[in-house]
Amino acid sequence: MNRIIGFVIALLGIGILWEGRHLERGNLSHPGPGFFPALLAILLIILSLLLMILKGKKEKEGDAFPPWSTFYRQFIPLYVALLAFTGLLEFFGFIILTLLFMFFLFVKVSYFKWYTAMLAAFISTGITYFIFGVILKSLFPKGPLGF
Amino acid sequence: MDLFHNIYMGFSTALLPSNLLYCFLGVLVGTLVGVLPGLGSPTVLAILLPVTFYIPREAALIMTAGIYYGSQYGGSTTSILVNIPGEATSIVTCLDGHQMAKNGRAGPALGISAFGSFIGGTISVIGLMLMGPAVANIALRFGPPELFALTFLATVLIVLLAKGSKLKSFISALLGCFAGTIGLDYVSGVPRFNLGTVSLMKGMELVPVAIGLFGMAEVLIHLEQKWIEKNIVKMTMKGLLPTQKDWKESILPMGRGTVIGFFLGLLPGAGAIMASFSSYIVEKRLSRHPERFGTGAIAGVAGPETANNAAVGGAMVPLLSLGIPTNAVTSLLLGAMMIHGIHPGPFLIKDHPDIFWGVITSMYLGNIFLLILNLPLIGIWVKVLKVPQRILLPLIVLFCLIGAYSNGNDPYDVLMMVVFGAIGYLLRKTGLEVLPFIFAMIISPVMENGFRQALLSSRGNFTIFLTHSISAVFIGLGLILILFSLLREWRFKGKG
Repeated sequence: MNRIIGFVIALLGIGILWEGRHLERGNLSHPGPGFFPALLAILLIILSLLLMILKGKKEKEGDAFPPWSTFYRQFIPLYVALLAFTGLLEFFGFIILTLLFMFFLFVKVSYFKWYTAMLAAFISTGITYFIFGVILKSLFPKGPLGF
Repeated sequence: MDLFHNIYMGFSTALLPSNLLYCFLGVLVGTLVGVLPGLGSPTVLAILLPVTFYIPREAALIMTAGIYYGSQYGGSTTSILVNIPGEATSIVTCLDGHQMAKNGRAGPALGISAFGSFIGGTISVIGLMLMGPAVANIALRFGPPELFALTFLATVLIVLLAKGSKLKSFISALLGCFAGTIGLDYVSGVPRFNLGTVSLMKGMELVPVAIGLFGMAEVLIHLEQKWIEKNIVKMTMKGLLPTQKDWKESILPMGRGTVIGFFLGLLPGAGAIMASFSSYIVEKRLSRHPERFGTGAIAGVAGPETANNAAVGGAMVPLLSLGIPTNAVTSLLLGAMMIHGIHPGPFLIKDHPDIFWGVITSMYLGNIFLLILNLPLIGIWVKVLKVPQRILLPLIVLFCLIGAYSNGNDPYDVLMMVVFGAIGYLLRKTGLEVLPFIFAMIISPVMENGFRQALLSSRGNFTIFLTHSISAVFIGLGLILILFSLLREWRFKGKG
């Protein structure tokens, strides 16, 4: 695992150097806007190489990833819903989209029966709209129906 | 006389009815957060940051500080009753607190924990009042080399005191530093690493990043676990007040806990956690009956619970006087201040004395609220504990979405939150710590400016960092700590 992490971080470091190539680096007496990021990128590459070399027992690995089923049953649907929420928010408006989103979450994440999920979605959307929209006067986007 | 004048000014701010209300709300939410296992104070503070946009800045800071120290109070309730620490700082309270509950002494355990928290919290505020202005006075003399050296030392401490691999923590801090450089360069105004987008020109917004890293990532971590069935110890609400014998056994641990907590809280890193563990170890060493520890010794609850609350006052010293956060929560508090146009540091006392002293004095009031909240309302907190996670998680997701959107009424911020949720999850799973990342992201502009300005003024001469005495001490200390940590690791590996 650490080798993969080290490799990805090293790539990121190279990416920073590549993306920052147009930025003026200047010199020690006049460090430009590209100086500090380049320094960080070089340090990142050095440390990531160390991480790759100090493999196995020497460096603590992270926690184990959950089984693939958790990804496709829970993470992926949640992220698809989150991205859909982000993309459709200004089109559908806050209330309608939040209602649908919360219904989805209560069914898919909490495994509620559809009627319980609908009730929970109504209550949660209503309360949050009251707190943020009415009391705190957040400017939520309005949908085609005007709310 | 100045001190009394400042205290008077602080109380006149803190005692305004609206500020009192926000102080109360802050400690109430903080206690709730502390009570709910798995829902950490950084998560809730990140989610609630956008709420502070709608309230006056003094009130916002009083409320966010209240959430911080309130969570330290609440954390003990779950440790004692459920054997699940509500906060990492209450882990050690499980050892004796839960045993006391199992022995039918949940009431005194909760009671002494609340009183200890009150004593530790209140005395540490006195320490903050005395030490904060003194530190700020010294910091007024800081120039660019000192600022760079200070941020360097703070980053080293955060990295070295992190839980997991030091190497990965350094990588995490470097990633955070890089994230802090995205957007317009402060000196030249040149956009950096914005990938050609206008949205990234303003840089990485703290609110969506923090909500993603703490809130959304927390949801993902919980999703992969089975719903925890909580085995709550049944107890009556009678007998919450500790007996005379309990007080006799607890008073010295409370005193020692206050001192340990305050001074360890000053250090960047896991101050409050270290404080509670150190206090427990000290009490066990000093006890005439160390064998009782782990079986329900009240000193094992009183010391650590006092220490973790005293650490809050300690942690506020570098935050308010130097603008240096020492943990995830103070990093977010720093973010909240910056959102409101307040730059914590030596000039805070000079430019905004009402805010500085208002926040400090509100902590006295908050501690009194907490004592009142904790003792009679323990029954309610027990009921809160029974709220199932399957209801909580979708609600947290909703709050994350609203929080991120409220940052600038921009779906782009929601997208950033969603992306950083996944990054936060991956960071945790790969053992890269979140704290060094967020800390470095916030502190990076100060570090870079200090570095560049120091080099500019010395015409590229690196010795400027060593010829300024304060800077030399900070950098020297940072390097010694790195060296010491490397030697320790090699020695340990040699033995292993």
